[in-house]
Amino acid sequence: MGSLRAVESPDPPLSALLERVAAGDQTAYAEVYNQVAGTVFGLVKRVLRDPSQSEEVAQEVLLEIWRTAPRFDADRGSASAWIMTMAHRRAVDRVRSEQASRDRDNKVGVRDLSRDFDSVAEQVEGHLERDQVREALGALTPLQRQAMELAYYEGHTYREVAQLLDTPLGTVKTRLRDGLIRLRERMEVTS
Amino acid sequence: MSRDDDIHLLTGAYALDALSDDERAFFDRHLETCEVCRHEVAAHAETIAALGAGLAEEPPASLRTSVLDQVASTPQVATSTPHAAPMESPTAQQRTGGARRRWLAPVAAALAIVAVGLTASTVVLWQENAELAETTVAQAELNDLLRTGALVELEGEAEGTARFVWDDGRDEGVLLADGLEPPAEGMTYQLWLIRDDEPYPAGLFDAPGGQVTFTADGAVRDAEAVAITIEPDGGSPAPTGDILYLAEL
Repeated sequence: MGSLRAVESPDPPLSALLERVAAGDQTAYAEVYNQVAGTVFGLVKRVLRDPSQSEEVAQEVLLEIWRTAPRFDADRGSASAWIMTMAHRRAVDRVRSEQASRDRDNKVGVRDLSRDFDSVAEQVEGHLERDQVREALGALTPLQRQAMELAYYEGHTYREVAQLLDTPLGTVKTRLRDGLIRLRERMEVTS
Repeated sequence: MSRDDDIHLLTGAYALDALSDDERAFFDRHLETCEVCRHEVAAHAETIAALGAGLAEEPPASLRTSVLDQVASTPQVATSTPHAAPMESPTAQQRTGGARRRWLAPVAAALAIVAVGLTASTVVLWQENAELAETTVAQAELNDLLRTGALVELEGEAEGTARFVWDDGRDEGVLLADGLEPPAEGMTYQLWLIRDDEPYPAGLFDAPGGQVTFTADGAVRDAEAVAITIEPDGGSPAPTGDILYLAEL
């Protein structure tokens, strides 16, 4: 299960730590925290933007890792994917509940997006990962890339993405999927 | 209806959390029976995690203290197998022998098989009815019902797709329809619950943009079937229009 070497090495593998956490080992949890807190916080903050809300949601996610570690199953995917999925979902849930009372200026959002994935590529630790990510992102079509950014970083539903990009719903749905598949092929991330 | 509208194509939007809550609940249900989609979603999750790793940012130091403190006093969940779907809803045991009820797993399995022919809008019909849904049934309850209730597809000659999701235990049912023709001026859609071969009015609804999420008004538990007709504004005590859609519950 290859992914996130940036996070998983050279410390003990996350999945092994999670096994100990699942058995109630708080020392192992502290180690998990050290390895993932930055990524969790960074992802949540990218979606939410507001630092204090991000801290709040990151805290929920980090606690959720402790609470639900017994349910983590390494056969279903990597520990980092499990954690990032949880973090993103919580952040998006928060964005959506905020959205109910706040009309976001979507056009500004779209304009700001163009550099998103590039800056991600810059930030990925280690030249191998960075090159992989950059190379993979370069393989996306502009539409694939924009659609994924609006969904992943802005927390928009694909219906909203279709409206924002003035693109048919079916096209957006397909681009999100084939964009991910293309990224996977390029990054050689396996599951 | 092209294959592009296949439910399986939603894996990307699902993995990116780009489905509405209702759609997510619906797709979760699909995942219980679709191994192909489960694998694909898992693969997407790995890809996305690799991208997200680049966003790492030093959290405030107070976060660590606060989380570790809470960990010390927070109980953990029991081990479980999240994808092992219950084969029957709890109420299944309570049903009477004669009724031909179709419960969660079999329905979901059937759904996966027929999904190729479904339009995207069938699957995602709830999104644009969020407001309406809130006025008919609380969103959380609706999601819960969509996840756990029995589901049947209404049959009919008319345009569009209509499904009914219901739960005998809660005595509650919701109509989910998409692609309905707007009724003629002065007419309205009417839902009927059939008990002892008698149709009982179960509410009037419009279908703005052809879509509707509508909670049946009346006892669902004893109903044998559900039907839709078009009636004059204000509705009818008994159906006067043709039965456009019908399903046995």
